[in-house]
This record gives sequence, structure tokens and C-alpha cells, in this order.
Amino acid sequence: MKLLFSVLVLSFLALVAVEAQAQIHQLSGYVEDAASGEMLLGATLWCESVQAGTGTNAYGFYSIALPTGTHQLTVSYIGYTPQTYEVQLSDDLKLDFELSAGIAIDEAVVTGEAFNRIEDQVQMSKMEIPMDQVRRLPAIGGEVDLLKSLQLMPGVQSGGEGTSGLYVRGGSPDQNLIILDGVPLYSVSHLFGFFSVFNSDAVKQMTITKGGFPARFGGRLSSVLEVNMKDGNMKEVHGTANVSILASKFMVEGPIIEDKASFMLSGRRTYIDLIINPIIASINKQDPDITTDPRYFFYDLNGKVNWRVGERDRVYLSFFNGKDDFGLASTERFGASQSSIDFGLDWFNSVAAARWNHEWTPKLFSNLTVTRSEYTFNTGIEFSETENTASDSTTQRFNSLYRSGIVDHAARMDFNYALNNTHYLRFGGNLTLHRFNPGATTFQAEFGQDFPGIDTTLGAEQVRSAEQFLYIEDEIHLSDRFRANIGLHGARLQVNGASFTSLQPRVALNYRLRNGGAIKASYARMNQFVHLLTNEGLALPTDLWVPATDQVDPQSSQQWAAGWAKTFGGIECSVEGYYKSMDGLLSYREGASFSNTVNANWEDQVTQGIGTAYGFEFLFQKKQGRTTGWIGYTLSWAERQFDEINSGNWFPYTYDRRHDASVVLMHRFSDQIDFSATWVYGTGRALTLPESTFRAFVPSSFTGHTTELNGFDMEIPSAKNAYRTSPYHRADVSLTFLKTKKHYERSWIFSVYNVYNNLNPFFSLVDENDDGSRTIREYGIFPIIPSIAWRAEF
Amino acid sequence: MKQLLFLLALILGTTGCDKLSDGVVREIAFPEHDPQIAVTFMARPVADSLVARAHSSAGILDSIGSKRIKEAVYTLEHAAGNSITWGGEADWVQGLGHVLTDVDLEDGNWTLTVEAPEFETVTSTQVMPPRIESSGSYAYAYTAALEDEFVDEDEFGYTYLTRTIDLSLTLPDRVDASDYFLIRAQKTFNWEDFEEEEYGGYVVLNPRVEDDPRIVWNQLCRGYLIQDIDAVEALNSLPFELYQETWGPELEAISAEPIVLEVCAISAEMAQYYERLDLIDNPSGGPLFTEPVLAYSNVSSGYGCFGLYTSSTLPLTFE
Repeated sequence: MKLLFSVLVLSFLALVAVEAQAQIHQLSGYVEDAASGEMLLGATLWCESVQAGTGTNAYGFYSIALPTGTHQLTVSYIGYTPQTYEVQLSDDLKLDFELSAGIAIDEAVVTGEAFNRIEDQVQMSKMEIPMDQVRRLPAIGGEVDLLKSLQLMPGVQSGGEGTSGLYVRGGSPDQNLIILDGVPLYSVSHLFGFFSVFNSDAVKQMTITKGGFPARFGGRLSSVLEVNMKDGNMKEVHGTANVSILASKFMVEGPIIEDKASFMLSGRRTYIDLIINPIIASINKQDPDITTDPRYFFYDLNGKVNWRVGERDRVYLSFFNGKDDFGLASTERFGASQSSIDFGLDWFNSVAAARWNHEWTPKLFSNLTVTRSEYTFNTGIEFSETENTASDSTTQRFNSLYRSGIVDHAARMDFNYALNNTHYLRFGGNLTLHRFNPGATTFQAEFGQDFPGIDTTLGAEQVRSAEQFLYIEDEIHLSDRFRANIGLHGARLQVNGASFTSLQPRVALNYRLRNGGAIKASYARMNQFVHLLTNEGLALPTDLWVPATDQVDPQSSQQWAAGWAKTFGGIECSVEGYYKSMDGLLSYREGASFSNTVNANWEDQVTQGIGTAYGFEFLFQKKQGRTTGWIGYTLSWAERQFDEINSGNWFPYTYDRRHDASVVLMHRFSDQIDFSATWVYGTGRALTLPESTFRAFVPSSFTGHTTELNGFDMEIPSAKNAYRTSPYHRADVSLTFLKTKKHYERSWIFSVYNVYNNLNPFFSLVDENDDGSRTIREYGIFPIIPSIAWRAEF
Repeated sequence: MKQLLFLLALILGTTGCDKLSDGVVREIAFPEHDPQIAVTFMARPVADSLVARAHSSAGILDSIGSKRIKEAVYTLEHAAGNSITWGGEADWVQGLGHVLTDVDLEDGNWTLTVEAPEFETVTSTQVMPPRIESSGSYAYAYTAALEDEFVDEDEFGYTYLTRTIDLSLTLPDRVDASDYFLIRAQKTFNWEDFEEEEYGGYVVLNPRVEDDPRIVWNQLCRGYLIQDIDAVEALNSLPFELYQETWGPELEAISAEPIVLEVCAISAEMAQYYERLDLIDNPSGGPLFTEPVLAYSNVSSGYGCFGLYTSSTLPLTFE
């Protein structure tokens, strides 16, 4: 770690010295949306005269070195009309640019502006779906979901029917670093994984990186998903309201002080509980002695304040809260007595972040982020019995409550230094204090007045750890054709007296071919100090976040990737091959489950192993114009090996999917009618099935009193993941009718999920037929589902 | 556009209702199962009789299931060359299996071979665990002290006796071997002496040390499997608590009822076999949420287990 720090400081000083001798001026500033003042992240600037370009960073800031004189500078961004500005430079200049949105559906404006095409990006394995397209995709129940839209991209797979988990290049969901406005989130699902926590109306941009990770990212093996919330409209108040059959949501944004400070607030809530309550009440009326009361709802709230403190400073405050609450209560009455049972399960996410952007010089930009992130999971059950007599009332009650969770406090400092048009440096560091609660159960009981009660807590103790990292990366223009991003990420974890250190080199190369295409290659070593303890069958909120400890090693991976990219007439084409090896993967031991962690130490229930994943990804994507969409295809393999699982033999990872294809089509017939359709296909999920039976025996006595044997039939599972479910395929369509009213624009969105009604497998069971024969059947849960949603935008 | 809407309405109206009714996607085709011999032969060195069972394994879709193989012939051969053969129809005892009588096995390596028509011959090898009995008694130290006793009588004249006993048990701890043991309480009461309806009782055995990784409850064996993990003398004076509850019309009879413990030194293979079967039979998180467990077998090209164990009883009485 000290070595890395020394390298970082020396490199910085050396580069500053070199730069001081150069005779250039620095043009810097922000690129923003003309209508709202919203910063545009990843917008590109290209100066034809010096054949140099740059892009805005994660805060919309750019900095480019240009010689004295007049320059034509073209600024462009996906979905916006490119603008060319004439800039006269005689000294360093700070200049903000504005772009106008909405005209880009006209293909005529999408000329081949250099520098923002896929072949120009040094970073490979990075994908972005414009939010405008995400909101137009067909959605189950009319509820658009960000993570499900990412599942349509090559290399990113879904966990199962309807679920929002991401499985990237053979990795598991815990290996995805999901960052909401700079804050890592631990649980991103609502409704047992069927929806993600992100409200699409509140999100400005999302990008996913599957490999070739720049050094500024670390802490996870498989992907980085950056989700940036809207900053809030600086000019005027705007908002959206959306009502679907599952949930309603709103988003409102506007200036607090025009062009100085803005806010954004959004919320969403399901009303499944409100819909079923009257039905339940009517059922309960039929038998007044039995009352059943199921409940379920989720909500999430996003808020953000953005304040331009001065010319060089900006402050952002943001928060996110989301909760799911599921429960079932039942009461049965017997005369004057009654017994009741109440089961509950809830999980809660809370994130708060404060960020300070400061422009030290036209070349040096910094961001300080201070965050708090909390994920809590609770489940409990209470039994009670009350006996009432004429003279007395006795109540016996037993309840147990299981809690687990994780709380992070973190501070991060990032610097961007545009040394010259050959070197763009990023460096910084991070400190995160984790507090893990890997599961504790409280039991309470009362047995009436005459007997003592019970009040005890069992389970693992809290684990505290400190995680730090430093990084430095340099985006280098080695020649007109050859560019590279080279970096080093050093991380360290201290936990329970043990410490782990990891140095992670990162390299990404881009070589432009004479025909306009580019060949790319990358290498990244990644390290992960947290694990998600989960059963592979289903992703549940009971999944347990646990740290690396003196008994459990961190996870690490190495990924090599190579590919080719080229844009043909507005269609981005890319082919990538990758190979990833993983070490320190965590799994429950055979026979273990979440319930083992309730009364025993989780470290005794786990085993560690290795894994490999490799494959090829093809993507053809059209991002602009009346007709947009993409075709993606992945051919991949993913295998794992644990000494204590499957007799130590390699086995296919549950989400090893040989073929995974998706077709996404969006077409705007007119300003009033919008159409979208998707089709997905995936090889069946690997699964373990009971394969055979035999009769086993235990002696009734081991000491000779009897020769009897106690017999029982054992069902023996197959080798791990030896079978496959049926292939998964489905088509969805959506039709939107838009109409501009006096004060707002309203949309009716009609969508059909699984339009040709292919029931896809969700789980499998051994069934006994009427004639006594047995069959293993797959069951599906989502047939064709039509839905309707209403949306207003003002 | 109207045509498109009409088409969508048509699809909605005409498809899928049948699929909604049962949710079945399809049946999973399974390869035909190749039946193999599943053997159970748990033997101790000296016994009047021991039982071996051979069944054929069955595919999961076979509704009849595992079938006994009456024709199975067993050969038990010592490394020194002496052997015992039994089985076939002649040794078959209905309700039990193939019975081997007048057993007297010496220490050392034993190999079991099972042959049956139409099945591949299977073999398994075992080493005799350490003997824990000497002159008909447990050969190592143990003490049992009555901690607490409570007598109660209900309105129908039934007497209830509860006892808590502190047990300290030493197990053999060989320096050069990692041994396994099984300890469990026998059913309380010898039912032949009493009317079943009138007398009853049970004994619960629990280790005093919580979360001792060496001591694991096994539901199938109804006892604790104990593994010698630690260094020398690690299995000295293991503390247990015994809880006995008996009831019946006569206090004298239930007071005299002993607690009988069975202590066995079992082979590592036998321990692993029952440990695995127990995990399969009693999944901790239910069948959906528990990592699948592969069955363990020390039988070549078959299922089941050939296990050797030595055993002793510890009768504990308290006046």
C-alpha cells in the first residue's frame, strides 16, 4: 500500500513538472442540458483542428488543452443535437456548453461525430442504455425496471423468470458493484427480486462495465453498475406521475434558486395490499372465528439537492430509502379463548450521500463523497394463546426475531487531472467502515403469571472491518491510433485482527484500424472483501452479507478480454471474447442453508472454491433515430469447483447459459404513437434433481438387544447441476399513445408480457400421478400478462 | 394500428388459459436408471446375529422403488485370508434380511463382497475400530451423578418422575488415529415387563458444551456422532446432561427404571455415511433452500455402506 502511495505521488509530481513547460491553454467547464441545466455525463468534445477530444466526467466537467487561436469545438451527447462552437483561446478559459435534447430522433442529425463512437472508447465491455429507451421498453405490470433492461444486453443474464438479479459473465449477483450516486447498494430488489429498487423516472443515466475495469473501481469481481439520479431541473419545475396496475410513482424536480440550486424528489409505492384488503375482509366475514390478514407493500423514496455554491464548487446531497414489508397474521377463536400466529418479513435500504465538487485549477477537478449505507433484514414469528375464564385470563406467547444487515460509513476522494491531451489522470482513495450483523435471533416467551419467561439472543456477533483503497489511472494517447488506460488499484481490509492486501493492475488498450474499426484488449485483476451467502436456488432477502475474515478469504478474479468494434451507419457493432478466473468463491456447505446461520456461526457453514467463465459476446446497437434497439448474443461457459461440494468435481454454475440472445426494437411511428418489442432466449438453467432412490437402514440397537433394522427410502440427488431446465424464451410488446394536453403530456401505455404465452420454467417438482407413477415437472408462474399504465409529464 | 390492436386482443383472448390452470411447463425427461446394489451391513466383532440387507437402487421416477435382493450372497474376508459367506434364499429371514449368526470377527482389515444375479458385484473394505468394552463393561472412565429429582402425582393417581443427571464420559483417544463415536440413549423401559398403556418415559441426552464442533446430533441414529478432532486426551471427561422422565402407576417401578446408554466406536466411513444420509433426510432449510447433498457410499459401484463398529452399554441407575 505504501509503495502504491509513493508511486501515485511521484507520478503526479513528475507529470505536473512536465506540463509546466508546455505552451498551451486550458479550456474547461461543464456540458449541460439546455432546458433543465442537468449535467450531461459522458458528453464528448472534439476539436477538429488539433485532432483532439475529451469527455465530461461523472459530474459533467470537462477539461481540454488547446493552443492559442480559434478552434471549432463540436459537443455531442446521445439523444441530443450536436453543436459546434467557435472558441477563441488566448488564455485559460472556463466555458460551459449547452445541448438541446429531443431532436435526435431525426436521423439526419446523427452524423458520424468523432470521439463518442464505440470504437473511440478506450474502455471496453462498457454498455449504456439511454434512459429514454429504458422507459420505452415493455414492462411486466407496466412497471419499468432498470435492471431488467440491462438483462437484455449480452453478457448480462437474469436469474430467473421475472427476477431482477444480474449475473454478469458467469459471476454471481454479489459480484456486481451497484453504485447509486457514488454509494454502493447491497440489496437492490423489491418483491422478492421481481423489481429493482430504482425508480426509472428519477434516474438520469446508468452504465454497466463487465470487464476491463478502470482502476477507480474496485471491491467487486464481475461488474460495475453506475446509476446516477437526476440532479434536478435548474430552470423550472417539472415532474412525472405514473400509475400502473402494480404501483404508482411520481417525480418532481425544479429550481430552489434558479440556475443556482435545484431539487429532485421521487417516490413509488405498491398497492397490492390496498387492492386485496377488501377481498380479505369479505372472506373473513364468512367465518368470524377465523381471521386472516396478509400484507405486502414496498416503497422507495429518492431525493437530491444540487447547489452551485460558486464558480468552482458544487454540492450534492442525496438520499434513498426503500422498504419491503411482507406478513401474514391469523387468529382463531374458540369460545372465549383464541390463538394467533403472526409471521413477518421485511427488508430495508437506506442510503445518504453528500458530495462536494471542486475545481482547483482548470485542469484539476476533485470530488469528495461522504456516505452512509444501511441494509437491514428482519424476519419474525409470534405465536400466542389466550385462555379466558370467568375469573382469570392467561396468555402464553412465544416469538422469535431474526435480524441481519450491514451498515457502511465511507469517505472517498477522487481527483481528475487533465495533464495534457496525451495524459488524463485519475487518482484518489476511499475508506469504508463496515459493520456486519451476520444474523442474530432473539427468542422471547411468556407462559403466564406462574412461570418464568424466556428472553435470550443467539447468533453471530457483529463484525467490524475497515476497507481502504488507493488508485491511479492514466488515459494515454500513445499515438493517433493507439490509446491506453493503465492503472493500479491497491486495496486493504482489516477485520478481526487479520488484514488482507491486494494490488490490482488494470490495462485497457485500443488500436484504431485503418478502416475505422478498433481492436481492443483489457486485463483486470479484481478483489472483493465481502461475500453474499446465498442458496443458489433462489435469491431471497435472507441472503447474508458477510465479510472476509481470518477464516474466510476474500474473493479475487482475473479477467482477460479482447474485441473488435466499429460503427456502420449509426449501428454500433462489437464482438468481445473474455476469460475470467475466480478464487475465494463462497458457498454453503452441502446440506447447509440460511437456517443454519440462525443458531450457529456462519463461518462453520461455508466452504470456498474457484470458478472460471469464458465466452463471446456480440452486440449490434442503434441508439438514435426513429427506430432504435439492439441485437445481442452471448455464447458462454461458467463452471465452479469446491473441494467440499460435488465430491470436489467441477460443475456448471447454476447460471451457466450456453446461449443467450435478445432482440430489442423500438420505433416511434409518430409523435403520438410509440412501439417497442423485445424477444429473449436463454439456455435452460442448470439444476440438481433427485435422480435415484435406495433403501437405507440404521440398526435399532448397536449393542445386541435386537437384530432389527430401521429402514427408510433415500432420494439421492444427481451430480451438482447435472440437469437443465427447458430453454427460456419470451416476447414482450408495448404500445404507447401520447397526447399533449394544455399543461402536461399524457401517455397510455399498453404492454403485454410474454405475448405468445410460453410458460417458462420457474421451479421443478417430483409429482406422483394418479396411477402411482412419478414424473418430474417444471412449473411456470408467468403466462401472458397484459397491463396498462398511465403516465403524465409536466 | 387497428389491425395490430385486434391481433393483440385475439392473442389475449384465445391463448394460454389452459396453461394457466396448472402451471406445468413440461415434464423433464430422465435417462433410464441402471439399478445398482445398495448394501447395508453394519457389523460389530461379537454378536449372536447380525443382519445384512441388499436392495436394488431405483430411478426417481420408479413408483415401486428400491427392491430387496433375496439372492444376494455376501462374503466377508479378513486380510489374513479367513472368510465367511452367507446370504441367498437360505439365510433370508422375512422382515429382517440376510442373517449372519455366531459372529466373532477379529481386528484388522475386512472386505465385504456382495454378489447377486444381474447386478455388478460390489466390494467394500473396513478396518475394525478400537474396542471399547472389556469383560462385558465399558472399558473407559465415566461417572454419572444425580443432579435433580422431582416426583409429581396427578389426579388419576399417576406418578411422574423426572431426573437430571450429570454424565462425564471418556472415550478412547488414539494418538495416531482420528476415531468416530456414537452415543445415544436406549429407549427407556423394557416394555415386556409392563403394560404399555400404563408406563412410559423417555430420556434426553445433551452435551453440556454448546456448539462443540466435535459433537453433532444425528436424527437418523437418534444420537450424537462424536469426532476426535483435537489433540491427545481431547476426548477425556466429555460432559453431558441426561434428562429422564418416566410415568406410571407405581413410583417404585419407575424409580428403578435404568437409563441405558449405547456407546459405539464407529469407522470414519460409517460416520460419514450416516452424517450424509441425515443431511439428505433432514434438510436444514427445507428441500428448496438447502444445498443438495451427494450420498456417501464406501461400496464400489453401488450405494450403501459396509461399516464396522464396537460397542458397549452403560446402564445408569439411581435409587
